[in-house]
Order: sequence, then C-alpha cells, then structure tokens
Amino acid sequence: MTADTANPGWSGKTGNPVAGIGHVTGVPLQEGTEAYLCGPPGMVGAARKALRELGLHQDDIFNEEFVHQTLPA
Amino acid sequence: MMDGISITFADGEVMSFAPTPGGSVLTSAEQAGNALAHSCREGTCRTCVARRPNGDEVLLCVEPAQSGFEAVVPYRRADVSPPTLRRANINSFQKLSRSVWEIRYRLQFPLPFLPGQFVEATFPGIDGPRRFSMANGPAEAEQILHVRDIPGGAMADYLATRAKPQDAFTVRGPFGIFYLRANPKPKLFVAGGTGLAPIIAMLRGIDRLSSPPLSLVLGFADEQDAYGIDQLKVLANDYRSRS
Repeated sequence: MTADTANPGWSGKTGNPVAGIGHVTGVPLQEGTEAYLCGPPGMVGAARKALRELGLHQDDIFNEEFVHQTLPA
Repeated sequence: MMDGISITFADGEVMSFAPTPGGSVLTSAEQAGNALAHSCREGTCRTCVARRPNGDEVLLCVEPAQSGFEAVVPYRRADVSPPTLRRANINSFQKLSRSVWEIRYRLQFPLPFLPGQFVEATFPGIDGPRRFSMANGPAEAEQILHVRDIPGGAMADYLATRAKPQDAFTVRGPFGIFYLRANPKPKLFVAGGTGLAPIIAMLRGIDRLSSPPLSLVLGFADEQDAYGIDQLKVLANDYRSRS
C-alpha cells in the first residue's frame, strides 16, 4: 500500500505503486507469474514496463486503464 | 495468404470471416455472426486490443477490414458474452474516502460477468453512460461500483446533491477482457485509486480450488484518498485460512 503524499501516521509506504512492486515477496517476480494492472494510464504503462523487465511474459500481463470520460450517448 | 480475416484466441482457437467492405475488423466479425470483445467502438477504450504477427498492437473496432488480416486476442472465445441491458436500483451509496464513492445496487435480472469486467451505467440526469468495473464477486446479489469523486464532475454532482436510495438507472454489459484467468499461476495485482474495484472483484471471485499465491500493490495519490484497506485485510485473512 503506497501513497504519493502522506502524514507521519500513514501505515503504508510513500511513493508510487510501481516502486512498490520491488517490495513484493508474496509471488515470484519472474516468468510464470501473471500480473493484473488497473489504474491511470501512466501507472499501468510504467508497471507493465517494469514487469516485462523482470521477465514476466507479455501474454501474462493484463491491464485496464481508467480513462475518466463520458461515452458517446 | 489467407482470403479472409483470421483471429486467434488465447487458447489457440481460430475464427475466420470475410471482410466487410468499408467496415472494421469488429463489424466484419459481427456481420458474420461472430462476437469479439469491445466497448467504445471508437478506438479509445482498448477493450478490443489485439496483436499482429509482427507484434504491433491494433484496435479491432477501428482497424479497417482487409483480406489477409491476422491477429491474436488475449482471451478465449467462450469468455465473450454479448452485452445485455438491465434495470437497476440503488440500495445505498456513501463516501469511502476523500475521492471515492461507493454505490451499492440491485439488478432486476441477473447480469453474469467475469470478475474484473465492467458495465456502462447510465444514471438519472447524466447524459451518456459511464464505465465502471464491478467491485463485487460474480455470485453476489448486491452489485458494487466505485466512483471517483471528480470535483465538478457529473457523477460527483449527482451523488452529492440528487441521488437517493431506490433511484433507478440502467447498466449494460458485461464488457472487458480484464478478467481473472482461472489457472494456478501466481498472481500480482497492481492498482491505483479506483483501479482497485475490478481487483476486489477478482479477489472475491478467485478459484478456491487452485489457490494460487497472490500479492497486491495498491497506490493512492494521497493517504486521504485511500480506501478499501479493511476489506482487503478481511479478504487476505479469509484467503490465507483456506489455502
């Protein structure tokens, strides 16, 4: 759990979630692990790049970018 | 070279159909009675993303239909359901953090979906549908959406000033290829803000038999935006105790 900005009482880390990937110990960060990314396009793109560099297969990385917009009626 | 258009699904199944003159790959597939994942039909939402043999990504809803076109899509044919329209009524709504609303609602008739998929929801007095991922498990009767509170936004204005329990609205779906794949591979989830909603649906809907290792990285712009932590702790304890 990370926040870009937080007060001293915050129990999580401070920084962006992509930097948080490096702290993951619950799953192996390598080929054979799947990743599901959802959030703003910048975060999703940076996370995908970082995970590809760690060896995750491109077909094992799924993402949804949250673009806040009105759909055509 | 192939005569028609050829789409290969994630499990290797191949769908072939003729290009419709002046149409897109998506509309050509539909003309031939085939379903492909899509939503916006204007090249923005990326639901219909596919990969060409040379590795390039294309959006099938805007890709001109041409003979010989080949691409791979990241889902199985059986995972695409034709979207249907449903009436819904709000049960309750509340602020979960400075920037996130939660809407709980019920459907007049069930709308099956895969955990991670989204609906297009049209609320009273708001022109045009908005896309929201369900934050509930597929087997649960009460549906849950997380709505970002954008100052001055139409949804924020509706929820803050006009919305009330029992309000009727419509949802159309399911949409999206961002759904949990049922396999025993370890899974890493990375969510930013209300990107948490489909991840919660996946965690609630995860296969109880294969119990793969899971990790979640969750980020917010500010600690005042954070939400869902208590629910995630409960889900994590529940998952640990049964695997």
